[in-house]
Amino acid sequence: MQKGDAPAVHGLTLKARCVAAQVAESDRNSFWVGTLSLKGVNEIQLLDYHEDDHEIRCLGIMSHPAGEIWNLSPCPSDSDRFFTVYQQTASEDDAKFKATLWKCEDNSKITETHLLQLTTLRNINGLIRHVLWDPSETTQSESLVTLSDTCITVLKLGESTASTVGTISDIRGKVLSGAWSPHHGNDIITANENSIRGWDTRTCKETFNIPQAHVPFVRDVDFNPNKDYCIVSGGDDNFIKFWDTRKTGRPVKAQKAHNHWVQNVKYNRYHDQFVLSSSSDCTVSLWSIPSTSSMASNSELSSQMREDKLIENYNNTHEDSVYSVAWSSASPWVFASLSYSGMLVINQVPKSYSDLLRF
Amino acid sequence: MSENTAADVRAAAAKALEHKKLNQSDGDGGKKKKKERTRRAHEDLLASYMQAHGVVGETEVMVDTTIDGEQFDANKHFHKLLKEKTLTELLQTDQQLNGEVKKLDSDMKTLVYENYNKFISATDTIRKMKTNVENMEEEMRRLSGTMDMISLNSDRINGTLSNRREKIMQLGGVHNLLNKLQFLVDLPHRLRKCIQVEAYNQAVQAYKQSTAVLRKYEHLPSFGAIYKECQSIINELRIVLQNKLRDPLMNPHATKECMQLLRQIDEKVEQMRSDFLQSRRVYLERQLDSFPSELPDVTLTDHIKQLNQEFLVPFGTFSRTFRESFIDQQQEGNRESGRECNRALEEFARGLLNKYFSLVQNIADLKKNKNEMYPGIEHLYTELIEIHSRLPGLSIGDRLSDNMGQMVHKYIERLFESLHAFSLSRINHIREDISKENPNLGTLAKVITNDIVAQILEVFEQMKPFFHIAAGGGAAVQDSRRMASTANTQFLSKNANNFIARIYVKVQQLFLFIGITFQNFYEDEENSTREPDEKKVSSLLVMAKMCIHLDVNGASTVVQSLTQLKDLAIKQIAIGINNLEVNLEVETIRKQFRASAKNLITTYVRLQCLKLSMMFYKSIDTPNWSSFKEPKAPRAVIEMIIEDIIAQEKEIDQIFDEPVQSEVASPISRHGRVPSMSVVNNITYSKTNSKREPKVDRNKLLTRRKGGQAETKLKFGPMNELSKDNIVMEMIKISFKSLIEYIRTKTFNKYGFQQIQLDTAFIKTILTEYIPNVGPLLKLVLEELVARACEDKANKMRDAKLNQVNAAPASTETSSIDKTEHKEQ
Repeated sequence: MQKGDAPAVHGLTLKARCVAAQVAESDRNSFWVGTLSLKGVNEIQLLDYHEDDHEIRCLGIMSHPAGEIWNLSPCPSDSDRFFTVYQQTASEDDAKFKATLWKCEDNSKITETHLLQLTTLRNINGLIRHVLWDPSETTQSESLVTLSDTCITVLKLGESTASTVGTISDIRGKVLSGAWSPHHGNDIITANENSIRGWDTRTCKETFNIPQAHVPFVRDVDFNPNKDYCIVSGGDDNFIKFWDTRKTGRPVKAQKAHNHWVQNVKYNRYHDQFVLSSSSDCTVSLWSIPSTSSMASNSELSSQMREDKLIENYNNTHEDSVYSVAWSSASPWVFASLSYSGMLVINQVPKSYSDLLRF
Repeated sequence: MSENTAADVRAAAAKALEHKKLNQSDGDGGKKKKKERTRRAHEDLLASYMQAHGVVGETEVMVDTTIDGEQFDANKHFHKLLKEKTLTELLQTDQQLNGEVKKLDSDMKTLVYENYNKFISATDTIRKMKTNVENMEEEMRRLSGTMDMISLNSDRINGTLSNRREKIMQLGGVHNLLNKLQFLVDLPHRLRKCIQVEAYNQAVQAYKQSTAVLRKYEHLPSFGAIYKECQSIINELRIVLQNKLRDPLMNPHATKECMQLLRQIDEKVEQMRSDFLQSRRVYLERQLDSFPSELPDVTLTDHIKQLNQEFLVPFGTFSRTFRESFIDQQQEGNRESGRECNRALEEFARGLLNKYFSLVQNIADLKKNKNEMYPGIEHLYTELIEIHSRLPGLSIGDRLSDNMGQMVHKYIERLFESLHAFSLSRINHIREDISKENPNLGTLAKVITNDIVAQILEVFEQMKPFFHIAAGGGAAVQDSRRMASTANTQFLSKNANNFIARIYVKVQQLFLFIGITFQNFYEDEENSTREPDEKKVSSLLVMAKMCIHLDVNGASTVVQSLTQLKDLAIKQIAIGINNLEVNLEVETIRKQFRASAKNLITTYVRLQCLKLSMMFYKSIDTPNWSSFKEPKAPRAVIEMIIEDIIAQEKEIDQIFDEPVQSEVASPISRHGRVPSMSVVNNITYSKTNSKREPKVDRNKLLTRRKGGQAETKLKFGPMNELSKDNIVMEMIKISFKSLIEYIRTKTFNKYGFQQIQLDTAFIKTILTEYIPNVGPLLKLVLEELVARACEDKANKMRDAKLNQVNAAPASTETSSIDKTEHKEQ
């Protein structure tokens, strides 16, 4: 077996739900992982994967006593900052979900890293689920969007506080996930129960609606990084579906992907024909779907690359539901998946595929 | 001594007489016999002669005892008698001899007398003749004098008449010449008259007789005029005849005559040929056009017979006439134009036959009763072959085979089209069938599959006659078959390969089509975003079962009988079919159906799970778990879920035909909840005749649990085998996985957990009665719950066992943190 074909595994002591690439980091394959435990002190780990020696190193463990971490949103421009969405365990409010922006104090000293709490978002209605960063790199006054089960809130992040710019409360259904368009700086999409909706953050108006995209729930959505108007979604019908947001009547492509719900679906940031999906059937699937990608019209591709297919279904590594997957921000071929039992696995796209696209 | 000689003579005479008699008697007997006899007679004569002259030496050895014998020696005989006989005997012999001698003596006397008589009468006759001859001489002399006179007179007369005779001869010649001239002068008139009364034949004859003369003396003005007039009249006649030839309604005989006449008056052959073909084409096309393509209540065979009477018979006649008139009369050297004639005829035939075949096709198409097809085709072929044999040299045969082949192909195609339609309608009606009668799904699947398979076999049966010549079949078919058997074998041996191959391809297509129909169905379900219709979901199960039937039985049955059909064809036709390389991969087809079955089941499971998951979702999502009261009984929604699971289990049970355990007493009633579970009760009651003992299963379960063999994680994978247990388990696994997922997203207070645990335990208790393998699975769910509960901040339970509903302090506050480590015991 070639190096890189075998997964690299890192075990957490606590259960975990979320893994996210350190987006602003372009040299290392580093991932944030947040734990989900009711009893212990939750923590955030920064893990680094070395392609050369095929090892995962822990760059830092930061305790996160505020509560169970349900979601992580790293800042796209600053590798030290990230939001966590967590369920507060210590407070008086029952099961209160909160979102807080943290800054990692020191990346270099592995042993002593602290989290510096920068801002906690307040005045958010409903149970907050997600924080989306504006991916366009405007360092001055960063834009944010929070998704909660009752509303979408657009915020501007200042030095120490965040000010609400707009609120969309008529969202028709709980939001489980969302994504910010890399093409149009104001557009976001959200997964609202069984429909996918698009919004304009300036006008706070709905731009499109795909009803009954996945029944009963859409679990995740993602923008195609290279091809405008193209999105992918996954949900409780075990399908991943590719959509053109201009033609919402039917999916461009629908693919039965898993034996249970699709929990997470992510485009590769560099090669949009690669799509990663994870599911509560304890497996992760790597797809090559060139037909809906920006490569569709590229006739130079070999026949192997032109065919839509499942590259691999990683079904032996995880023992519990895989709630989260993430592509590395540094390498186009590395991705991490995290199962509920706390097992983080890092795989690489098989050489036969990656070699064909390396120049 | 005199005695001896006499005896000798007599003997010789007797011999000669005998010889004569013999010769007479076998006058027409075998020549060999005759020869032999003659030879013997000569020898005898010779012997008697030699004896008579005393040359006896050599024969002395032989002692002849008979007096009449040839080598009779009187002395020896005398001595012998003396030696051997007694006195009386001697006396007797003496007497006898005396008598004989006397008799012979008298005989001799009579003979002499008779001869003397004859001699006297001969003398008389000679005397009479002498006197007669003297008279005649004088008569003769007179006659010769008269004859001289007559010849003298005759010479004189001849001399006087000869002058006149010559003149008469001259005059006669002039008369004849004048007669001929008269004929020539009359010719135009005569021709006109002939044409007027339509005696064309006479006209042509007359013209032909006189043309040579006229042409010879054309330079004389009068003859020239006559010749020209005749020419113009004949041209008129030619036009008349041409018109007649061009008239499509002319009967064949008249046409033939016309052509002969035209030929005699030197009509151009090409012109005539094209005229002939043109008119005949028009005629035959008219026949074809006017023929009705639909005749109700007439069998195909009769219909074709009628058509052939109308078209094929005249066609044959025309072709023959053409051949006789144009091709056969071609001179040896004129091969080029002969070929041209053939080409023209072929072109003529091609156009017409094409039209004819399309009409036949049309007729066959319009016939409702497809069983008539075979005799019809056979009859058609017989007649066509006959035409073909009568018109050799035309490449009708090949085209015939082509056309017939096409007809058969179309026929096969139609049969399979109807099969497609039948299967499709049967499959599409499954939903209606289910909602109409609420039947047992397994039986329904079986019935539909059998229907389809039977229909396919029926089609094979219908195709059998094509390959089945020797035996079987209806009586009506056999008649025509006997007639056609040779021709048909010829036809078949040429095309059977083709047909068989076509049938194979069609069968394969049919299976593919059925597969695709199923596929469409489940893909439709997969992609639909509508609430799944219950009946439609059930029909998925029916289809899956059909696939299984087709996989296990149907496909191989069909392929088997297809092979039989092929073998029959090989046996019957024997030629050329041996290298037939068509094979239906039963395995491929079966694999296809297995895959379809699996897909259908997967879709079914997914849709059913979706339903269950939604119920679980509502059961978890609706209550406010933070302020939940102490649980007392399983919630109603849980009962609904159980009912649903059991109903689905029952449905699958119908399909997979496995009897379920006969747990008559409702398992729920034991838990003291009879009224609301009446549905479950009913279902339970209906499940009698079981072989499975739930108790045993529980024991098995227990042992498994003890052995620690139970699954530790919920794992999903493709189903290995489509059995009822597997499907039900898969369903339950997926829906409970969903339950776990829902639970994970929620935070519960203590009582909330207890409620969920109670619910789950309740489900487990009841379901294990039905589905024994469900135990370990549900245990996993419970473990998950316990783990969750142990972490829960509000839960102070030390023991998370299910049935121990802990009487924990009723602190309703839900947000206190419990960070104490709880271990599952």
